[in-house]
Order: sequence, then structure tokens, then C-alpha cells
Amino acid sequence: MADPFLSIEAIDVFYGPVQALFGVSVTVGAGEVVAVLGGNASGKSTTVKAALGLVQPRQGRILLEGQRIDGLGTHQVIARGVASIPEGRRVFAEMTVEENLRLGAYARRGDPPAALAAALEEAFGLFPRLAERRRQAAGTLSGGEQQMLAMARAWMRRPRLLCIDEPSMGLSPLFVDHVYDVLARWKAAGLTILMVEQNANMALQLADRAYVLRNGAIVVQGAAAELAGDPELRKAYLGG
Amino acid sequence: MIELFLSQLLNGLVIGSVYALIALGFSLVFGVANLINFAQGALLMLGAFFAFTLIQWGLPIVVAGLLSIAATAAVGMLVERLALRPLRNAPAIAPLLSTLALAVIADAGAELIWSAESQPFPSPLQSFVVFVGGAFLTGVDIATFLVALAVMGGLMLFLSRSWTGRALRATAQDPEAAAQMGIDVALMRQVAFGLAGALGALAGILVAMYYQSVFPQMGVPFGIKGFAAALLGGLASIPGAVLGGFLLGIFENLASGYVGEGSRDLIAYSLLLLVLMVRPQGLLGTGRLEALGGVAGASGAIPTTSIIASLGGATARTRNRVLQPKPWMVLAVIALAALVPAIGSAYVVQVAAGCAVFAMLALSLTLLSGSAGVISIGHAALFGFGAYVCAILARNHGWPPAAILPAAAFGTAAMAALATLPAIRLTGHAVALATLAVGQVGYLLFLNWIELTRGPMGIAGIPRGSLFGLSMQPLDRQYWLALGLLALCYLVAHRLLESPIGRTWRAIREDRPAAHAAGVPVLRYLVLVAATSGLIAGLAGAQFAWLQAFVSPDSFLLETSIVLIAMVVLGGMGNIAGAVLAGVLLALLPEALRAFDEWRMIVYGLVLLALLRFRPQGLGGVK
Ligand SMILES: Nc1ncnc2c1ncn2[C@@H]1O[C@H](COP(=O)(O)OP(=O)(O)O)[C@@H](O)[C@H]1O
Ligand SMILES: [Mg+2]
Repeated sequence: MADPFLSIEAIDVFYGPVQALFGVSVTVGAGEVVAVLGGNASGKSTTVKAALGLVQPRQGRILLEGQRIDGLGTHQVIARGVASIPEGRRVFAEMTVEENLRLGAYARRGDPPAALAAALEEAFGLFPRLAERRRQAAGTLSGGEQQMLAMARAWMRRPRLLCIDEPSMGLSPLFVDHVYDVLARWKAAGLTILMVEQNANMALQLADRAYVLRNGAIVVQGAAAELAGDPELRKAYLGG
Repeated sequence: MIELFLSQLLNGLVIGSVYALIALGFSLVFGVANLINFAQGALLMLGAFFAFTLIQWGLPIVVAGLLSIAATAAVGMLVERLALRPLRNAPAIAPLLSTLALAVIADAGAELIWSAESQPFPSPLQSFVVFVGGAFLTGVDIATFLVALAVMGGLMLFLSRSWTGRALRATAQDPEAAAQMGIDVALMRQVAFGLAGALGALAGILVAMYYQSVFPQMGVPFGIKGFAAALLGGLASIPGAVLGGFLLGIFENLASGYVGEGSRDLIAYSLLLLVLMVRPQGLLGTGRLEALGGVAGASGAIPTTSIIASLGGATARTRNRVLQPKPWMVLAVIALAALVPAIGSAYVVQVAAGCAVFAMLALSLTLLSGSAGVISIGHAALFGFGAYVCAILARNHGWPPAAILPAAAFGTAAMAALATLPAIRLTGHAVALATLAVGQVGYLLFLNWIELTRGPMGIAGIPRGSLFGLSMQPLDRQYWLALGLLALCYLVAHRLLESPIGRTWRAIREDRPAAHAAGVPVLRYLVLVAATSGLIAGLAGAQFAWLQAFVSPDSFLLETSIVLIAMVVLGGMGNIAGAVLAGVLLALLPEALRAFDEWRMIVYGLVLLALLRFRPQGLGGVK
């Protein structure tokens, strides 16, 4: 196998005196979709936050395309071609839908304005509901619409690696299906994705490979198709 | 009649546009960095002086102004570097007090460089006059208004259209999400401070042209007014800052036109207090009040005033060892100090008595700000209240000390409870601001209520009377009285802090919502701590009046409040033994620096800055 696109190598992460991750290693190959699963407070978000530079590992290394990125600031990681759909969407509530999307393209601010305008129209094509609300403040959207906005905003980055934290959290089943439809299309287009999910059933249908976290350590890993029936997976969710 | 109204309205619009510029600087920094920048006034003053110097070097006023704006923007960025960046994980009050320390250093530095006197500032358009109905506008008025409007419009465009402007707004709304868009959040904070510096400099130059003078003390009043304007509109709201600036300018000018010029500042500060009490989110503000807690407050729902909680992480390398001597040890030291007259000259006794007064003041403030977490930057007003009570009762009414002591103590306690009311419902930085305004109102009353206080002349010849048949005229006896009062206050404070009352104060400081939820009558406890603190400050004030035999507003300037805060931080917040020690040490400092008196405030500022950065738990440790 060639060098993985993203490689998290045996990281320990602490919040003050509390250790949240214990020697976690995750790799994502180019064009691959990798899911990190686990129950509540198992360390899923912390894993993706470490990749994004939002928290710094005390031990271990993180490499993007063979280069160390641990120790870099989040904006520097994003500048290397990464986009993020944060947990809980985190849209800029007081700004309009369109301004949110423009901010998604912040890392591409050097591109010609025409390219950005075209990207904006494409994003609206992808999510027509957002087009209807382009001048509306993002805070007035419903939870599902905000998730669409967070996805469109990340898509504006034109990333080579997309990090997603719990895209289905708090959404109605209809919206969950919609979210996964879009993700499947992006996967088919060759996008590399690292996603974190509690909803294992949905995630395993989409992912190529998956890791299962429990209490901050990886307990199982493997091809998504095989993991779906693994009893360890059930245990990770049920036994705390 | 209508002429007066029209002319005050026009003047209000002009000066209001300047307030709006200052308010915008506050709002930008508050929004992006969640910090009330107390150095904003100092930036304004520096901007005016930079331009002043450049004009003296022969540069045309426009060039001088532009250069000054650039230089002040750089100074603004430096403020971020010194006061905010190193303190991201420190207690929420640390960055706030650091900007205050920087302001003190800048003000005192300006006095050193440019002299404390007011100096004429050129105002080339002053002779150009336009009549509007019965009122008139000068060229400076028109230029001020137009420049301010143009800059406001430009800023709005910048914030809504440019990449950096949008990034600034995104950072203000959600810094963690902004970082995930690729925005360099730390850089945005610096940009916000730089813009605040540029806006401050522009406002300073316009103010200097408007009043045709520059002076080092101009920063404080304009800083507070810019803040009042920002608050009036809604602290984090950009249109709100503009609206607030105009409203304040118009209101203040109408007041000074109809009530009298002396009332101008009083009315502006009272308006600030009123807004804080009635509608702290401002006219256009949203529910961002919670963010008033400061740097740590942005993420949590309600900010903590906790000192201990935030000490855990950042200062783990310097452990919080608490100095807590048994009360008899402190009494023994005070008893030893009573021997000073036997060995020292009258000068030494006078200095030692001053130390005792400041030890009482530090003790009083550490109860309020340290133990209960109500940061006060207006404590000098309570000190002054006690001093004036003593001066007026002793000199005009011939009261004896035995009657004056309780009158000063309980009078100041009542005053403190009243004065703290505006601040008490607030948390974090807003408290500091409310108390600052209270302190300034107190000072302005001492200065302007001439029938009662004799204004700037002060009250001289305060008789010391006699206590228990003993003449209190000799200095030694005054000194012993001061020591006795200090010992008494120390014991009372110690008792209170060890009792359930003291534990409740600390619980409120550490987690006010939890205390509320647990059914603690929080407001009553806060009023109690304010009254206790006021009681001690009143005694200190009375003692001060007898010692000096003279009181004047100069002793109760903002500077004094800042020195007191420095004492509390140096002693370790909430640590009464530490406060007494720090009070003595910092009261001795000016004696040690006698030859460099003009450096005194700079040294206080540096001490405060260094403490907050390297030893936030002070000498005595936080309790
Ligand atoms: N900001 C934080 N401060 C302290 N502890 C945290 C913080 N964020 C997460 N934790 C702790 O780290 C552990 C892992 O959290 P997280 O990665 O958010 O889990 P998940 O996303 O799987 O629910 C939990 O025990 C959580 O309490
Ligand atoms: Mg999570």
C-alpha cells in the first residue's frame, strides 16, 4: 500500500490532567472513506480534533501526505487542503447563508473571484434548499438545513481530505438519508473522508474501513463490511 | 431657546461621531477577543500625542495624522501581545487588569515624555464657520463629522465585504468554527486590536482638534465614554456602537446645555450605570451579555469569576501555596509595629501610619474583589467618602472621633452597598466597568459639589479631637489609632472569612449559578460583602483625613483605585494577610522612589503586569 493520505500514529491526548486518547492510530488512504465509531465520550471527537490541530497530542505523530502536521495551528492544517464539518454544525448564526458559504472558501481566497462565484452556484445546485435561503441568517435555519449548510460550507473549500464529526447527530431520518446520499456522491467522486459517527449502521454502509474506540483506545479495526457483524462492535457500544 | 437646542444637538452629533469611533474600537476587540480593553483610552491619548509631535516636527496635519494612526495601530497590536496572548489560559480577570496596567503605564509615560500640562493642538479649520439656523458649526466640526462618517462607512464595508472583515466577524461569533474555515484566529485578534488602535488614534486626533489641546489625562474620560457608547448600543454590535455614540453625544450635550457644563461627565457616567443596571445587553445587543465574562467566558454559558479554577491549568508550574498566619501572629506583628515611634523619627511614624491606612484599604478590597469576586476599580471613591465624612463632621460640625468613627464606618458601608448595586447583577468585565464608573462619579462629586467639599481646594485644618479624654493631636497617637483600627478590621475580616458567610462568598465567586441553584440568596451576600468592605474603607478614610489634616479630590483619583487593585493582586486575591503585607509594601514604594516620583505609576503598572503574567496568585497565594 502507498503512503496513507492521513496517518495518525499512536497519539495520546490530554485535557488538563485527564487523558482522553491512549495510543490511538488511524490511517486514511487517498480516496478512502474511514469511519471512527464508538459510544458516547469514547474519544471520537478528540481524534478528529487532533487531526485538525484543535487539540495537540502529547505523544505520537500525525502526518498528512507524509509531512508532520501535529503542532501546526488549525488554520495551517486547513491550508494544506483539509476541510471540516464540525460536531454540532457550528454555522455562523448571525451571518447569512451566503456569507457562511463564502467563509467556507476562506482558504481559497487567492482564487479568482469568478471561480468562487461558480463554486457558490454549484453549492446552491447541490443543496437547493440553501439557495432559497441565501440571504437568511444561518441561525434561523432548522437543524437539518444547518447540517446542509455546514456540508456545503466544507465543500466550498474544495478539500482533498474532509473531516466530519457526527453528521447524523440530532437529525430526522429523512435528513440522515439525505446527508449520506451526498456523502456517497462525494465518495464516488474520489474524495478522501475521515468521519466520526455514533450511528454505526449508516457509517459502515458508506465507509471502506472503520475503527472502533472505547474509553479512548482502539478496540477493533477492519474492513467496514466485516465489522458490521463483529460482536466486539456491539460490546464497544453497550459495555462502557 | 430653540437655538440652544439646535446648537447642542449639532454639537452632540459631532462629538457623538467621535464617541462612535471609540466605541467601534471597543466593540471590535470585545467581539473578537472577548475582552474589555481598558487601554482603549490610552490608545486615543497616544494617537493624539503622536500626531502632536509629528506636527511639531513640521509635518502637515494630514500626514501627521495618518502616520500617527499607523503607529497607534502598532501599539494596539502590542497591547494584544502583552495583555492578552500570554494570558489566554489565565484567570479571566488577568487580561482585563493587564490592559488596565498598560493604560496606567501609557498615561504616566506620556506625562514623562510630553509633560502633564495641557498643550495647544493646531486646528486649522477652526475659523471657518457655517451658520445653521441660529446655531453654527466650525470647519473642525464639519471635518470631524465627515471624517468619522466616512471611516464608519468604510469599516462597515470592510467588515461585510472583505475576506479579513468576514473572518473577523466569524471569529467573533465562533472562534473554533472560524479556525476550521482556515482562519488564523490569533491573527484576527491582533487585527482587531490594531483596528482599535487606529480608530482610537483617529478619535484622539479629532478630539484634540475639537478642544484644540492635548493632555495625558485625556484618555480616561474619552475611554469611558467610548465604552458607555458601545454598551449603550450593545457591546458586540457594530451598528449599535455607532448608534450608542451618537445618542451619548447628543444626550450629554443637551444635558450640559440645560443643566450646566460641570454635569457633562457626571451625566455620561450615570447613563452608563443606568444602562448596566436596566438593559445590560444594550439597545441593539443580543444575549451576548454572558460573554462579558472575558476570555474564558466565551465557551461556557455563564462566565466564572473563579480565580482558583483557572489557576489550575496555566499556573500549575507555580503552586498556590497559601500564606495564612494565625490571627495572633498578625496581631503580634502589629503590636511590634506599635514600637516604631520609640525608635523612628516623626517622618518614619507618618510613613508607617500611611502604611496602616493602605493595609486597611487593601484588606477591605480583597474581601470584595478577592473573596467574593466582585472586581472593583472604583474603591478610591469609598475611601474618599469616609475621608470626606470625617473632614466635614470634624471641621464643620466639631464632632469628636468617637462619633466620627462609627459615622464614617457605617455611612461608607451603606454607600458601598448602594454603589455596588449596579455592579452586583453583572459578572466579569462588566463589573469592572460599572465600578470604574462609580469611582469616577465619586471623584467628580468630590470635585464639583463645591458647597460641601470645597471642590479642588479641598478641606484643610481637620481637627483630630480627643478620644476617651485623650487628645489625639500627637502623631504617635494617630499612628496607634491606625494600628488599632487595622487590628480590629483584620480580626473581623478573619472571623467572617472563616465563618459560613466567608465560605458562601467564595462559593459565589467560584460558581455563581451553582450558588443560585443551591438556594443561596446571592444578592444579599454580595450586598453584605460590599458593606463590610465599605465599612473598613470608611474607617481607613477617616483615619487618612485625621493623619493628613487635609482632604482633596486628588487623593481619590482613578490612580488610587488602581494602586489598591495592585495591592490585592500582589497579596493574593482574597488573602487578607497577603493584602495587609502588600498594602504596606506598595505604600512604602513611593517613599523608596521619592527621587523618581513621576515614575511611581509606571512602577505600579509594571508590578501589576508582571504579577498577572508570572505570579497571578500573588505573594500570599489565592484563598
Ligand atoms: N474540552 C474538554 N475538556 C475536558 N475534557 C474533555 C473535553 N472534551 C472532551 N473531553 C473528555 O474527553 C473524553 C472524550 O471526549 P470526546 O472525544 O468528545 O468523545 P466523543 O466524541 O466520542 O463523544 C470524554 O471523557 C470527555 O469528557
Ligand atoms: Mg463527539
